[in-house]
Amino acid sequence: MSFLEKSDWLMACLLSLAVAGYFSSVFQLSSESGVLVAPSMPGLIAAAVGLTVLSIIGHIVLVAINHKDANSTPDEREIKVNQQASSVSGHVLSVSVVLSLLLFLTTSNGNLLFYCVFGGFLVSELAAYIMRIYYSRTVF
Amino acid sequence: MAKKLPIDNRVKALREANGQMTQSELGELVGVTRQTVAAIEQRRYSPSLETAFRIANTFAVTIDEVFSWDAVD
Repeated sequence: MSFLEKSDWLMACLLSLAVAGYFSSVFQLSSESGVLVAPSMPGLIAAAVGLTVLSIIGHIVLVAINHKDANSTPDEREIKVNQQASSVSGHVLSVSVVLSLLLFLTTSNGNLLFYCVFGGFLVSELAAYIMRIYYSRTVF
Repeated sequence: MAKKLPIDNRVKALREANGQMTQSELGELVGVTRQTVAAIEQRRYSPSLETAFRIANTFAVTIDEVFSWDAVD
């Protein structure tokens, strides 16, 4: 497994945890209050900082284990894999934004719009990692 | 059977015929990763023309002695 693929696995796992943690807290707070709670800046900052710190620590460990591969630049195959995965990620983001806007037109709920767009963004990032792993292992 | 790309190659045979060269060593010589060399050998990736020439030059053979067309799928 290449360093980039290990990095993708790490980021996919961390991002999944961050998404699950953030949206479960939103769901819990909303269940308690009975309405969809407004997005909170401290919660977002905590999730972003937590994700950043964990990804830095994780990459330090990865570099320590794979110090030879860590500095290598992507080769022609990895560049193509990145481009294809980014394309899929872009499509996921576009669809999620359009669906979020359509949902907003029907509900007029700004909080829901924020969560849908933010969730779509996170899912598109997750899709990029997953597709990179997939394309790295399949015929490409 | 896993899907294969139609460009067949003798990269593995040439590596073994050249002093048991490893995938990593070949990758370093032609400027790709070990994973890409493995993908080429398993016909999961068709290299660029430049990389194909680099591989052929590494083994001092012509490009058609390394790669051939084999539309199996």
